[in-house]
Amino acid sequence: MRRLPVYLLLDTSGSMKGEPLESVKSGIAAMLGGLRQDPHALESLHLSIITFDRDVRVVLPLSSLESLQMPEIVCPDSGPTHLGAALEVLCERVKVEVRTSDVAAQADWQPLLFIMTDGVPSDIQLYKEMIPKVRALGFASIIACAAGPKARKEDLQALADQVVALETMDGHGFLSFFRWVSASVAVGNMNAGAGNERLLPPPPPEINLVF
Amino acid sequence: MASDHYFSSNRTMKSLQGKPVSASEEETKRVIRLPNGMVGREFSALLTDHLTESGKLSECENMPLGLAWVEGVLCGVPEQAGEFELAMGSFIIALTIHADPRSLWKNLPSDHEDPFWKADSVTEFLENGPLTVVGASLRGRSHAHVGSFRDDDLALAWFPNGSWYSLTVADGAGSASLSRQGSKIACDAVKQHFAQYFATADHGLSQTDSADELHMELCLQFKNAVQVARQKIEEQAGLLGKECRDFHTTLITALMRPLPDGQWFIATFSVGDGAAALVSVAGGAPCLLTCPDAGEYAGQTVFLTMPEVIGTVEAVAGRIQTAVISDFEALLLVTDGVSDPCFESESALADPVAWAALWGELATLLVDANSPSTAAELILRWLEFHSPGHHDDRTLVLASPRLKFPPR
Repeated sequence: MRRLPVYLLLDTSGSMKGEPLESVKSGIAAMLGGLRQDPHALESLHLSIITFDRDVRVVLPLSSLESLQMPEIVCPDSGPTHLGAALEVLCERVKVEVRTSDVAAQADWQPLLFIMTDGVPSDIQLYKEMIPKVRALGFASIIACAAGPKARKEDLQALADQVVALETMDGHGFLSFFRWVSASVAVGNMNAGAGNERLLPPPPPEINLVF
Repeated sequence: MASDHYFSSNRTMKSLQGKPVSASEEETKRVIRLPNGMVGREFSALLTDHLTESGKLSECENMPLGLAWVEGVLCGVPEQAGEFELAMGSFIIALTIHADPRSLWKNLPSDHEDPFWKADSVTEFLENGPLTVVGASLRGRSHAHVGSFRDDDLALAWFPNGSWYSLTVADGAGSASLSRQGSKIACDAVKQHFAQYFATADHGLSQTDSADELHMELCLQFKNAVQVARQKIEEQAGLLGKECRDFHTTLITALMRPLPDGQWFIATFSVGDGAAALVSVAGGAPCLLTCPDAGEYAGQTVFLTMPEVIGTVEAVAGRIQTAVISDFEALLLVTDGVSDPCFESESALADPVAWAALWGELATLLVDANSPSTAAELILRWLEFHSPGHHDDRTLVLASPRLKFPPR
């Protein structure tokens, strides 16, 4: 069976503590609930969640939607945003978890990457070093969500194919973002077998595309 | 499995089954999360003694339909999808049961008003010639689910002058908006080209005895055929103000004919994925007649509509394979909607045993056919097979000297 690997990198730095993190968690839960109604996703979607603050944690190793269970996601009270280190972990995980045609009998569909952050990478040097490495992994699409006023969109644009901005970090905004993620994943399933181009569905009004 | 292995956490249950919990009940309850279940699939979860003693789950009013509590085991075949939270003493048993994906597929009609509408399924067969040739093409579930079109196509022909067959299948790219038209134009153009070519009395492919000359003529004719296809796609794209890539399609064409000495000559040309293969070739000759273009990840391939693919005679020559065989059971042409689920890997695709198994399945199925048209219908129905994660359009063409039907 062909798998569609989807990686979700979540900022859990101190500024996310409280309502923002709770909103992200309910957004993910709603997204999973929605995807469970999609037969294609139920059969092929595999999801991994990696959180980053001072530490990087693989809170959910790549798991099938059918079997996965919502992991515990926690925030420290304060501390830096190590997005660069998270990308480093991501590269290791993708190399181990995602099957390409040269190592596996049946290769996976091109993986997707979603990154959500409300800040600026504290390890900017490492972040910049990791950008070409992440891009070389062959993601079909890298989508970054800059949440709230402090997220620096320019940093994300160097990495992502598409940057979206969430003005407010409330439950409604995050829910819209994760709805859009699941719609994008569904489109990913539809386009599977289509070559290199990937079309994303238009985002909901709460989300602004950054050009 | 013991409950110790299940994911558990402490959390305050603010509400249970959507009902607000009164202040006195608002205490920290241990949540035990069981492995996910699926509607219609046997479920069984053993809970440890200390847990079962703390309360009686059988008294829980929200027990998912189909599940029962039997001597410390929550078991049965769930009938109902959803998120369940079952209270048991000081514990909460959390359980996700999802729907059987088969029950979630929709079958939405495609837009009949669309200028490039295509029937969701089609069957074709040839009534003349020494072989039985039948084919079918079916819209995939992933397309039916959203009411989009079948992107695959096929075209079959037999030309009495030289007894040549021209059999073509094509798979339009899912992401290209007019690929259904790309695959149709490609199939039709190739068929038309060879119809004109074989209509001329002294066409080179039937005349020459020299292998070199034959190969050169094959290169030239395949190149001409696919260039006509390209041209027609470019013309249509130009008229609509679209790009050639909006028509991205793969193509597999097989030319074959019986030789005067009783052997068969077969030549294939292919761009992209899918496959053509001979089944049960005498003498154990190689069976796979195409070299699928595959990328690093699944679904990455090349298309006829990419300029570099058929730009030079060399590029075309590299995509041609020929065979002369004394006997065979069948020639099969399939798009990747069939080859992906039927062959686990690229090595399986080159395995004569795997192709013989596929042919065996088809031959068994066709025992009941009494005409080429019923055979094609049976193949169309066979194309509906379920394979998790494989829901692309499916097209299959078979040409066989073995299948015979009673004269009508």
